[in-house]
Amino acid sequence: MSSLLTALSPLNLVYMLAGTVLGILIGAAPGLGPVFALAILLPMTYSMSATSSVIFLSAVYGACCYGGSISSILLNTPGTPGNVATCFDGYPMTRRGEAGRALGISTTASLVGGLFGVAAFALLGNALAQLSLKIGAAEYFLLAVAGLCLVALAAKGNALKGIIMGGLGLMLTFIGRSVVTGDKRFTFGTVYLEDGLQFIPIVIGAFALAQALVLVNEKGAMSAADSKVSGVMAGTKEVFKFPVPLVRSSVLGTIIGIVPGLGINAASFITYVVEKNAAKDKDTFGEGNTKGLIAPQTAIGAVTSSALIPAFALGVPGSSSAALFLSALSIHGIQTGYSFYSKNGDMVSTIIWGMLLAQFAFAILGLLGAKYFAKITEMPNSLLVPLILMLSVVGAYATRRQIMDVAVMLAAAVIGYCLERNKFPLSCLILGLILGSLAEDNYCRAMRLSGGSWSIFFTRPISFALIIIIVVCFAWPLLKKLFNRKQTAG
Amino acid sequence: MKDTNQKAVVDVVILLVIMLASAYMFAASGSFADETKLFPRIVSTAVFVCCAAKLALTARAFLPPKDSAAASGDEVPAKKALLNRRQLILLAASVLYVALLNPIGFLPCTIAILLALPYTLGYRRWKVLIPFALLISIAFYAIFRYGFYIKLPAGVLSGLL
Repeated sequence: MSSLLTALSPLNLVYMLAGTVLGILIGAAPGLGPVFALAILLPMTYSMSATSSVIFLSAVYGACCYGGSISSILLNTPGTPGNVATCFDGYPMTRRGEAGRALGISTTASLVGGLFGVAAFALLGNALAQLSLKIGAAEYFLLAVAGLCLVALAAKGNALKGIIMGGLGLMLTFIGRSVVTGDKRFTFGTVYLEDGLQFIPIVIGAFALAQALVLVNEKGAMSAADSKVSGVMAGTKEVFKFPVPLVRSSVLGTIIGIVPGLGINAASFITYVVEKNAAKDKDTFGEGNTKGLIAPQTAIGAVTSSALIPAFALGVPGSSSAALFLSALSIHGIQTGYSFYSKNGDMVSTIIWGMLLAQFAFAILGLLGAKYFAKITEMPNSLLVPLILMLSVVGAYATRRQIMDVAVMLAAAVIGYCLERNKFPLSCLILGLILGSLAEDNYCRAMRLSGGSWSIFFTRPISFALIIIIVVCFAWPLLKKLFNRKQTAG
Repeated sequence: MKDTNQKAVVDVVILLVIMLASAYMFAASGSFADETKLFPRIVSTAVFVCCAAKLALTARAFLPPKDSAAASGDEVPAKKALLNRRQLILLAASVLYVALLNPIGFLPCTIAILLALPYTLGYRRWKVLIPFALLISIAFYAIFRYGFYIKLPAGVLSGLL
């Protein structure tokens, strides 16, 4: 109880609110993302206590990942790379004039996922961290392949196009220095390409600016001027009508979160695809399906807390964001690792309460602000399109301050627009980009460990289970067709 | 049928470009060290094979339909050009904006684009347009410069900002 009171101290509440507001603002700005938010705000924690600094950073992290959904839903512009999957069903809702409802759904789903993630952090932190150690190179590689296969198979009637796009995404990650040997590949003698093609400019171009190319043909605004933004509370209530997707996405998000290296981007995609495959109304995914919005947002919420589990319990930061949390703790002389939970009992409890309250902070601010955020859809398209252009340019430029990143963003917009128009699923391309380095690095490591034998993928239980999942995923549509044919013939 | 063919032609072009890229990647990776070329070769081969399979499937669109149902499917509405005039204007403006961003600077370029592009797209309410362009440009510059410590290109105003 004393830890709850400490978490509720006026100073901690101020830090939490400040972190939430800053997180939402940075998250909603395309291209910046949680790593940027945590990195830029880390110096502010120097003067705070260790507990306050984790509470502040948790508020920033959770709010930033949530904030990214606002621009995804309203402008089809993912605020953070993790929010790409939020665009798929969030933006179509906005196009239907249901921006308020979409924001209500995303806020509540993020809150539920966040609470689930914090609960996992509190109750199963140590056990889950140990579990993450069982995942080796072979499993990582197969996880990446399974993710790509699932996304490709979920592409409406275009599975082959999905696989091609996933492969193209992987091919793009080969540009630059090899993750295995560091050798230069496909750089055409340019210094710019040595770092590889950057993910953020491609995502911004393929989604935000490509959408501007669609909007520029439409006169008027997405919503009628002075139309009442409604449905925020209805969206909030609607989330609870889907308990199974909520729980499924929370569990998946938590599990993906604890696996170092996968993180928010993979979690939001994979949960989206799992939900789509499980749904009876999968044809409406991508057209504003509620479950299609619940799944990625819940997973994102869950990952923001569960990604900290290996960092705190094992001292192994699985992502840049988790590494920044560890930096904040190490500044205060606090060691993370096996004894973190047992040695720092009171502090851990306070941090958990703080993380829990931080979830409510962004949810309350998000719900209160939803109707004001949604006003942007009343802006005439002739004003909105230049605004999206400016946001895209700033987003692509901000991360590395290289004008070539902006040029890549422009090229990605045109290519993305053409691919999307011809129903080549961009989601598969993006997932290929996300998982490319992870897949290559772990494939090569697995081959090295096994002395070049593929047996490593079949002899380890988790990797063998993943192979079965991949095979079943491919075989299932064919088996289903055969079964249906037999039924109709019978 | 005409629509299906038009879509299929664009599909074929896209698939051929990807096939070319994968063939290039396979060939060019020949000179790399074993571990460096291993994964690119596997992936480029897989992509090439999938593209070839899809090409074979797409070729069916060019065959005369057996019945009227064959002409339908996941068609894209017929459009004469890939990009129309308004889209070309947006792209031209984007290229110009990006090209001038470094030499001219973020503030002048953004103010200009936020004035010129809406006007070209048909928005003529200057009382809204001018404050919109000025406020958005200055606010973004200030937020990034002083809030996030990201210096957007100052260009011709580098002495002042």
